[in-house]
Amino acid sequence: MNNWKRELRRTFAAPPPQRKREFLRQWGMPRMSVFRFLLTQTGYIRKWVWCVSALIFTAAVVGAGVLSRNMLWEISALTPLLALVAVCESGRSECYEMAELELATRFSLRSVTMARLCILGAENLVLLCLLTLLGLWHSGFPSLAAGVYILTPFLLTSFLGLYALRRIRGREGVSVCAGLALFISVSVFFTHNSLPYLYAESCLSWWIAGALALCAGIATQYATMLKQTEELAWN
Amino acid sequence: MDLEEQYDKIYRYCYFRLHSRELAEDVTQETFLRYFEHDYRLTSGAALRCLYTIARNLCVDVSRKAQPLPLEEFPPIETTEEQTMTGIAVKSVLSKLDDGERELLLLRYVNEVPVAEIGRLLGISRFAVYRKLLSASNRFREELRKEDLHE
Repeated sequence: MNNWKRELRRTFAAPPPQRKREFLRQWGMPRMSVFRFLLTQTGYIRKWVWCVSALIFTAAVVGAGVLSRNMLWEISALTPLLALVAVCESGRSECYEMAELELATRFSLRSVTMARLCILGAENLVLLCLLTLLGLWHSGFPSLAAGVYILTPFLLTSFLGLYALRRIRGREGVSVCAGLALFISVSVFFTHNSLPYLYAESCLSWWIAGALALCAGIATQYATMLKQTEELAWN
Repeated sequence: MDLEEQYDKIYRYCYFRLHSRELAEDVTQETFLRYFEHDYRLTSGAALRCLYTIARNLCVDVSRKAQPLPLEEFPPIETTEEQTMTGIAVKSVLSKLDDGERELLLLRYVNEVPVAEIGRLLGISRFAVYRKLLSASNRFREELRKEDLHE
């Protein structure tokens, strides 16, 4: 903000209004608790988001529990799909060009996006923990390695998906995200056989460093995405 | 739309058009009453424009009926002596601009109304708004420079 704009704001400062509280109170906008707000937002998350999570979990349970197979690589290959649905759901307002409408409603788009991110983040966290446990079963890998192998494709898809969704507006963005998720998913599924040295114990530190870097990248992408919702309001 | 935030902005807009706290608050409340009466909440992007159009028309009506008043003095928000002096100088610079320029500067840089909405509110194109804004801000900065307030 330039100096002259700051001065302008200061000069245009009006005396505080005296009857604002009484006036606004009469509209009786009921306050809503954070929990209740999150609960209402959960209802707006599309059913297929939950269905995809349930399907991946069921596949992992059936594979590891019923068929007693090593499901680590299958789970690792499926997590990009989990990231894809979460990313698409986070940017749904943008994809369907409804962002401006949401900005004019009772809660700002920023609050709605934050709430949905929290809900999906919590759901994915629980699911990834459960999937790591299932992936560990019959795999013979240490728990840290299994966790990193499952988490990294998820984080990579989330990062690239968010970047693509911010850069490419509308449904084309979703298509690019889907393409990226599919590519990562297929790559993970095939690389553990064709490039086994990537999964050697000596490479584990690189995997951990990569996962941490991706976490930082995702945080930056989400922060930029939330900032963009502000810009949308005033540009 | 944050009702409280918009209340403050509409009130500020009215205050600088009417120069009276009481009148500005009356017009602000009337603006919101009319806005809700027509249920403009349904028309999303037009919300801001509606509020400012109602406020602007009401201000014009009130100014026609009432005698023009000098800007009320009110206890300043805690500022340093230097800020107070600068404020006085900036006010004198602002008084050299015409009403239209002051309104534009207030709408865009103080109340942060999007350019497109200002254009619709004033019945001019976005380009015309940009042009007028540029000219008003250049004039404002030029006057500030003359007063030695802008580097």
